[in-house]
Amino acid sequence: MSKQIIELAIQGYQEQLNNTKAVVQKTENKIPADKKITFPETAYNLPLYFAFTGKKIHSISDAQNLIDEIEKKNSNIISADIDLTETLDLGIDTIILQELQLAVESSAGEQINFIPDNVLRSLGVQLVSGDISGIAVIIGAARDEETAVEIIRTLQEKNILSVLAADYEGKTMFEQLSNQNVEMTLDTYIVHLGNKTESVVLGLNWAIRAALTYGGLEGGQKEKCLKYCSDRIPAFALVLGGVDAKKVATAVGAIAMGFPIICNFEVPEISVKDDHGFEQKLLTFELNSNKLVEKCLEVRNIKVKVTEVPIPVRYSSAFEGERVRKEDVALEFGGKYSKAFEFVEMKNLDEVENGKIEVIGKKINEVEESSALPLGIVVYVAGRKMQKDFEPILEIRFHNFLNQATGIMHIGHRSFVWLRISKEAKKAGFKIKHLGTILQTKFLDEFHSIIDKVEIHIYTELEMINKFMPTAEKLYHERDQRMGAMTDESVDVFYSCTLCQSFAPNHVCIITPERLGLCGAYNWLDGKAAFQISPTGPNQPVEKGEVVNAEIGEWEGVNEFVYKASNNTLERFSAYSLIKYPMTSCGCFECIIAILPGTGGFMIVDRTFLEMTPCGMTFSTLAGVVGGGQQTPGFLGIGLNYIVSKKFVSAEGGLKRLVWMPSYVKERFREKLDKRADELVVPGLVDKIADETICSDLAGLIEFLAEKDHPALKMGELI
Amino acid sequence: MEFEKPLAEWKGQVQEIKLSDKVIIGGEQVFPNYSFDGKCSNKPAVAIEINDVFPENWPENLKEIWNTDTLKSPVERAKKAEKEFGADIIFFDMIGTHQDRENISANQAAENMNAILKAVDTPVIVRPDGNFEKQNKIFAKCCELAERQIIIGSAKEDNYRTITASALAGNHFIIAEAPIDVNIQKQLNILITQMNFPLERIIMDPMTGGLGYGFEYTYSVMERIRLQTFMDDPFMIPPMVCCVGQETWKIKEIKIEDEKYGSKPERGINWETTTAIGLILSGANIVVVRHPESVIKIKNFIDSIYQKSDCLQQGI
Amino acid sequence: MALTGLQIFKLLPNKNCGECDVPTCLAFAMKLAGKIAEPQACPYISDEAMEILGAAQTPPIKKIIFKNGEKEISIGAETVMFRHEKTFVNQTLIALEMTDNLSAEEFENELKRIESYKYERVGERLEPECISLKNVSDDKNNYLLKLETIQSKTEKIIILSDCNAEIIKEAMQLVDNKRLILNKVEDLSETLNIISDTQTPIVLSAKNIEELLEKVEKCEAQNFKNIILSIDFNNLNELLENNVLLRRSAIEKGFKLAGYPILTECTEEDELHSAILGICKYSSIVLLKKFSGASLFPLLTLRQNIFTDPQKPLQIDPGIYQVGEPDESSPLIVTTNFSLTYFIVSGEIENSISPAWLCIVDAEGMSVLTAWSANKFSGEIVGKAILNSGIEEKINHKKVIIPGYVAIIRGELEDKLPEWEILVGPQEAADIPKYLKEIWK
Repeated sequence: MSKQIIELAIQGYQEQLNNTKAVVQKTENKIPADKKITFPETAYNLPLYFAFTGKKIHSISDAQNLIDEIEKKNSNIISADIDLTETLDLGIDTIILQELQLAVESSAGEQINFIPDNVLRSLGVQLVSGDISGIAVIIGAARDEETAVEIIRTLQEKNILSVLAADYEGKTMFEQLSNQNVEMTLDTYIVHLGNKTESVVLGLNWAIRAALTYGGLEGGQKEKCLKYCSDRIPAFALVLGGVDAKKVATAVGAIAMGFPIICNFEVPEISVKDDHGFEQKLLTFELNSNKLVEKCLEVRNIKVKVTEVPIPVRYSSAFEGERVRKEDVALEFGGKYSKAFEFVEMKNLDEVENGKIEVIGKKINEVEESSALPLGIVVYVAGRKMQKDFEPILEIRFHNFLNQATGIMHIGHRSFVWLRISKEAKKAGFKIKHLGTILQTKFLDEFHSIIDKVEIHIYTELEMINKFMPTAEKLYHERDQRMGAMTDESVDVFYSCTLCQSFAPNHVCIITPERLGLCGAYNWLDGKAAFQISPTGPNQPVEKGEVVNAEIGEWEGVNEFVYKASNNTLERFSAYSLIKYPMTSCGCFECIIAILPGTGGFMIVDRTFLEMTPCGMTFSTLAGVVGGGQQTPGFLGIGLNYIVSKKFVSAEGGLKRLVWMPSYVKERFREKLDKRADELVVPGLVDKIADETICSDLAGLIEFLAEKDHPALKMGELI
Repeated sequence: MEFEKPLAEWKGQVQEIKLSDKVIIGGEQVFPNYSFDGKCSNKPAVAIEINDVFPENWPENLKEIWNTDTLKSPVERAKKAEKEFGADIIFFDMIGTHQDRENISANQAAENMNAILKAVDTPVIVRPDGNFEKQNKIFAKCCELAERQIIIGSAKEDNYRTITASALAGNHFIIAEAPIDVNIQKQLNILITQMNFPLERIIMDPMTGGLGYGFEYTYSVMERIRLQTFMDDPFMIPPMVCCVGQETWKIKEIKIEDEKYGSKPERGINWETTTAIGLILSGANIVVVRHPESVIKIKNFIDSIYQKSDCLQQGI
Repeated sequence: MALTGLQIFKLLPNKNCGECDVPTCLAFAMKLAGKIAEPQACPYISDEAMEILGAAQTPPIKKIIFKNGEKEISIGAETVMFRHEKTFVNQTLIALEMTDNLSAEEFENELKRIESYKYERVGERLEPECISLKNVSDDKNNYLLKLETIQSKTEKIIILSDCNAEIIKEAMQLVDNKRLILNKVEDLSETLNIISDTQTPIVLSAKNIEELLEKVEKCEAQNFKNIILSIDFNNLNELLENNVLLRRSAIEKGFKLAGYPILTECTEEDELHSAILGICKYSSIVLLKKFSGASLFPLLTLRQNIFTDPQKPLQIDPGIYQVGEPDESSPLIVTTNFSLTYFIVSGEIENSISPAWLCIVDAEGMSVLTAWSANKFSGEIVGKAILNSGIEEKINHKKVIIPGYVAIIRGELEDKLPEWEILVGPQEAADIPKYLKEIWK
């Protein structure tokens, strides 16, 4: 902490001490000795003092004693040679003195804008429930009345409660707003505390009561109260104009409660590291008044809850399935009509301007009805908990988010995008920019735990598309490479999925980088992101722990996790074996592997294949065999993409043992299967795998395999 | 012949909750009702559902009990439910607050609630109806203005913050409702407690499937919740409430006119009773019903099944 | 310890002859593992395999098979304590008591009344399967006459109650032994002699478990296997305790003497209560004395629910359901007959408080997406269901709301219902209130 601030804080504390002393002395004669000193309509007496000590002030002599106590405690602090903790303590003493002073004045009949308990409650519920997204303690006055209004409107838009206190050079925010006829009530989220610097404390002692009420805390639990304020009460102080010593001492008190200070003038910055290793600013500034509120939100890490997507057409999941037919198209992009792409890229927090949506190129009204434009949507995101790996998970949501707007149809992803805007949507006033609005709002809403900032650029100019396309392609490529290079050995943590325990109570999916969930819907990254988004949800991290058996994919940590999550029913788990402790199935598998005695191999059948298979069972019979969370050696429910993984039933030899599969699955994966076959040094393997056009019975299969010299025949029986 | 009883050992305990001096629920140290294995301290409680506006859509034979001149007001109905019909708890279901119904305001709802709180001595479960926005307003008001401690419902996965904050400030109990799902139930309990709300003040509503309409899901989910409780899962200890009446009196099976189905009023009561008893067997600590005859039958069952145990009688 | 499918497979001849009715030995092994086939079905099975499989296949609770008209009914064969662990296998039979001291006419009327208790729910027939004929008259000829009436006029399983060896002997001549259960026999050892060849199921009753197990031991010693257990109880607490402890002994402790089905004689004063308890908690037969449609119908429904395989969800009857009190302008919403889907969709319509018609399509009990991918909820099927439902006479519009997840069937449905407007509803039931309010209106 800078010397300058410490000096000012000490000076401010001294001034406050003298001030409070004077007030108490002045009042002593005015009020009877037995009169209770307290704020009106509260059960907390002097809330800050009560919260920190568990004690209450009953009389004017108590007040005098408290002053003496504080003075005595700090009597040897005269130099700037104190550390951060000591300075913060001094800040706390300052605000306690302020509170005491106001309480005495209030008891003497002076008008003090103390926030009574019942208001605390109704605001508190809104605060704890997240309806109020933050509290701005505004100290001082804005540069001019227009700026004052602008700041307050921005705060209101973000559902932030503003409490106004103290003047700057005789001007107050309250006056500025009154002159501009701004309505100042609880409903408009503006509360005026007073013109004196001391009145700031009325905001602070409201916050501390919220800690006592909603934190289940008791008076005297000082550290817990401070921690609650710091962790759970999204308050900050916005200091406008400039400071004097007393304001500095007060601000230090606020910092001690975990509330950062943002000034609109230059100050020496103070910051600490938070639990995630991010720099947490305690004192900072922003000179541009347009960016002031945004800065406050960023510093205090406040996420504004947006419930409605502000676009001129209706928006709901109900519209997701809607199609925009050819004759209804006002404007379309991509598909076979033009070049288009979309991507999400992560950037650093200071590289992204939250809320920015920029459209470069033709607008919807500048083109003929039913025509096509090229399109590029670039979304930059940043967040304290954002990771590069989450990019594809965000990107995949474009489809779902955009489709929920009525009159908008989105198909495909990456550089295979097709987007239509209907005539009706256009008539309702839907602009290209609104695509950005939707993405902006939804990303911040649904991914608020990982995304702090979103900036969007939309291009409808071919030149820009051509310029960005290589960047996009490179990004996709790198991402695929990275995903492809990721192995089970390269990570320490897998993810669980217990989403299906509602009907398969003991089933646990273990999702690894090389084995996606058996439903095909969740890969390892999804699990990782889902855990960040919902830490108490069905996807939990599973520490691998010590290797028990690398070949079959068995780890101590995974065994422990599975045992617990399966309600103590499964003791061992293997990730790569069909025979030894195979993974259980819930019933949602995309396809089933079944052992085929006599062939040395196994077959695969997927959900849509309804005919008889060589194992003598149809898909639905097999589903009855493997489902329900029981380990059934020889049978395995899997996600289709697992077939082309290097870890595909690797304990038993993997793809080399695959002898039969439905023809369309074979064709769909042919390219990747061929590649895997080459890696396994069995070129031409895929053509040795039978399908239903060749045979559906075991005898016919064995004949075929012999004819083709399928490697499985020589590998020995699986059991 | 010697027979060594294969008694089971259960780890953990259902949270005991004192709702009033007379009504204490939960506390069992063994699987629900297995008093031969160990201690089942408190009998399940029977609640009667009272609506803020008269429920015109109830079937005639149920409606006629509640729809007399002297029972016009919810307060009178609540009194009758307590004094004559033996309700341990009043379940005050404020259907009239729904924004598309009477759209009763939050202030009025709180007033209606206080009238009930004053009229009866039993614990009162209060539950508003409507969209989340409307419900949240009522949660806040009712929790703030309640003249004594209430049980407020229902916190859901998508809407638990306002109700939790309100109940926290007002020192009330909360009902945590999950859609027949063990994992979501646990998650919801965790989310609520993460807001510093004490687990000791949560009652779980696993959501009741009516008999013939998903009953078996609720039955098994409740058994699974309790098995988790007794695997010592600290987040699965709250007692459970089941809203039986609401899932009974609307189904077509109780409206059939045909001799072989027996008398209609009797069938309705038996349906409600059967559902309630089934759910008590799977772990319900409170069952909410609509018919006074059902209350008698359910209480007889409870008395008989708790015959040997040294448990506390509700309502004495 | 039950064998896995693969362990069983290794015991089989691996001929893939198909004579057991499935094409491969592997498939047969899986059926054996799932206990839906008997090892005897394999003509080539070795004696050694048979022995191992026989032992492994024997469930901890004895299975007893009866003949009920053309079909077989079993009790016992249970393997779990809680239904979610796998399933409860054989549902509790419901037995209704008749006494032989009624006049012939009264008796026939009573029998008619009992026979009328037959219900249909979700495609299943629900009815009490047994009649217990209590010997009150102590007049052999009269008793046998009444027995004759039951046996000729119904297909129900008959429990002979309070009979001496002499009556039993003659009764066994009169009625197929696969339809008989002996209860409260006057002279146990004499009766056992009579039935030693026929193995007619017999109920052993006692005042407590110890006494009961002594009797079981005695019967087993005489190589008698078809035993049913019954213990007197003074209150429901005792009933619950006895049933749970017997089941636990058999399943968790492998205590063979306790491994038989239980019959519960419901006490008259709280008959409904003991029947509910019996159905939920391990009775294989509950015997009712005072009964009516008003108590049987809910009990049968309870039984249907409890004994549903948790992995094969219960279905709802297809057809038109009213949610609230819809009129001719109310919306029509369509979904599948998976009971949980129905339950949640109708609940959300109720939440919206706008009444609606709900058309439940027979999709074999699958949820919307699953049904669609299995081709059970196609435009063709949904269209047909709507046309056959008779809804057209109840509403004055031709609009139907389909689940958002199957927006894709819209075109096909338009072809099937050319005069109709097909509206795509929300994907999640929770969005139905919003949809009805904002879109439908």
